[in-house]
Amino acid sequence: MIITQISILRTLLMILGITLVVGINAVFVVWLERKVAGHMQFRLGPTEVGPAGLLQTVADGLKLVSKQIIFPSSADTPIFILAPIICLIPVFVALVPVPFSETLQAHELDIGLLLVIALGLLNTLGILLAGWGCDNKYALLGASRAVAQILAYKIPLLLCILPVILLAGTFSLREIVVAQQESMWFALYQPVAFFMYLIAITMETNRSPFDFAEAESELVAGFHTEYSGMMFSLFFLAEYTYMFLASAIASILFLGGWLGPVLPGPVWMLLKIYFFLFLMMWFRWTFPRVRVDQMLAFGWKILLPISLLNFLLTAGVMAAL
Amino acid sequence: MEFLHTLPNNLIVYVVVAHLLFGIGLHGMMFRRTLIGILISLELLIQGVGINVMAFGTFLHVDPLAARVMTLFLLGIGAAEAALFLGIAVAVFRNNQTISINKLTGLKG
Amino acid sequence: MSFERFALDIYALTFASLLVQIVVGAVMAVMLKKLVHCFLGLVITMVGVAGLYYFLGSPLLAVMQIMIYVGAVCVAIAFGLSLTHKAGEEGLQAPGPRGIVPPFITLAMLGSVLLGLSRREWVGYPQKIDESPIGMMLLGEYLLPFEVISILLTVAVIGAISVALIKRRR
Repeated sequence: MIITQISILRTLLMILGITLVVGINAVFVVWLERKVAGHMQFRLGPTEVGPAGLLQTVADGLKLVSKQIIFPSSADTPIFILAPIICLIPVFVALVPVPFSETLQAHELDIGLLLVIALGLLNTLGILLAGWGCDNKYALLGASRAVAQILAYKIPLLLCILPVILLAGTFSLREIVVAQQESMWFALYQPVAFFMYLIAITMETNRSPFDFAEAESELVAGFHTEYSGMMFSLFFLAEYTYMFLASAIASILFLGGWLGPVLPGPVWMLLKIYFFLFLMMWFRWTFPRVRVDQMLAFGWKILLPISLLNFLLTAGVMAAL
Repeated sequence: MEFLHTLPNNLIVYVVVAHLLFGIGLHGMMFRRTLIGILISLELLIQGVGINVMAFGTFLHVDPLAARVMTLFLLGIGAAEAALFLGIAVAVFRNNQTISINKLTGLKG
Repeated sequence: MSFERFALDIYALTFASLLVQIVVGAVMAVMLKKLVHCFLGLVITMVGVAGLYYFLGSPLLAVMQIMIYVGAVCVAIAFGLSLTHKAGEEGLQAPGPRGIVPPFITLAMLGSVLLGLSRREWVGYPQKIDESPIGMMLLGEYLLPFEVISILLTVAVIGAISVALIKRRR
């Protein structure tokens, strides 16, 4: 038998924990985004609902739930319904191997990082199916652009993760943080990889300045043009959870996960994750959108060679030492 | 229920599933009329082969690592072949505006 | 009913549902009319096969299957679908009398394989082993196939790009 004993209670707790993390994160991040957007634009953002506007997301959620879900008559209904689900479920599962402290981890996997990468690739499938199922030229165009963008930056993303794996010697996320406990945080050993990783995840999650998938002024609303009500919010839940996951991986790989002087582990982890999320929101409200061909050229011609060189250099240095 | 418990350790199940996939893929390759449909059936064939290799390596071979390496190579080859097939399909569509093999009969007769 | 018994039941039920998933996905992939639905069936089958690899004791292969097949090959097929889409093209042909050939071939193969298997002992069983020697094997014992497959992949990518750029000679 592969497994000798599963603790049923632990599995149930794990599912509940991940669901809570995803849900509370969505509520908090939407509020944070609107507050950050407001203050960067010299206004206040939501202040009415709840203390300092914290329950604004709940109000938005209730509004979206009460909206009618419109199915276009010529849309391919099974695909139309499946696309947001395919966008959402892999990100849920990818949160399983992520450790929030030495003991707070849903399930320890030897190949945790590999699983996260593999499930991140399924995002493109969901986007393509969403663009296809709508039977709408704008949606298909937006989806193809989004997938081309994500694929162009997938390889630099992997090549930025590889030096960290070389340094830590393992794919297990917990062991990578433990490896940073003895030596310094990997961001100091791999600054170039850290910087490129930040660019790559801003790209992967379709955030400005790279949000061609949504592109509110160009493509109506990209691949989720035809989605209304709760299905639209499913896409946004998937996007924010993917941002959370990418930030969690960034803090584990480069900033040492739960390591920190005074505060307990999970608090440090959350601080680091929300630092990256704040960074992504900062990018969104500061930079204008990049042109599609410029962005693709940057990815293939500049980011890929640099990340490859960085990886070869790291491997060479590690072999020499 | 007891029968279901013995299934994951039974080689016959894996062999039957692999051959079933192979048969369904073969049926698809014979009777689907578009290039992409044939590609999908071809991928099913390869999945069946992969399960077969992995199952034989796990149950019948002393060294199961060799089966994993072989299946990894199979995955890589399947991906390369799908990429080539798609390149050809896109080129054919651009030149003939169709990928139905009923209409692509230039070499016939 | 003890927890362990319940866990074993869930384990067995998961395996059975994976088998059902594989077969349903495969039948969807060859029997449905619209190509996008067939593509969905393929995705379902591939995820099921990944689960089967996990049950055969190789979480590495399961993750690799999802990464390579579902994450890359299926996305490429979906792109190909959207690029070669023509409305109203009939994708399926009624089997007719030639429909007996695939089941016949399959049963013949299955029969011969089972016959050969009946004479051999099962040496092992699915267990989770340490898969880190695979890396050393790829660069040591299996170096030649490794290099050959890297050349193969490079040639395939270059070939696919150059084939896709062929224009009709006027």
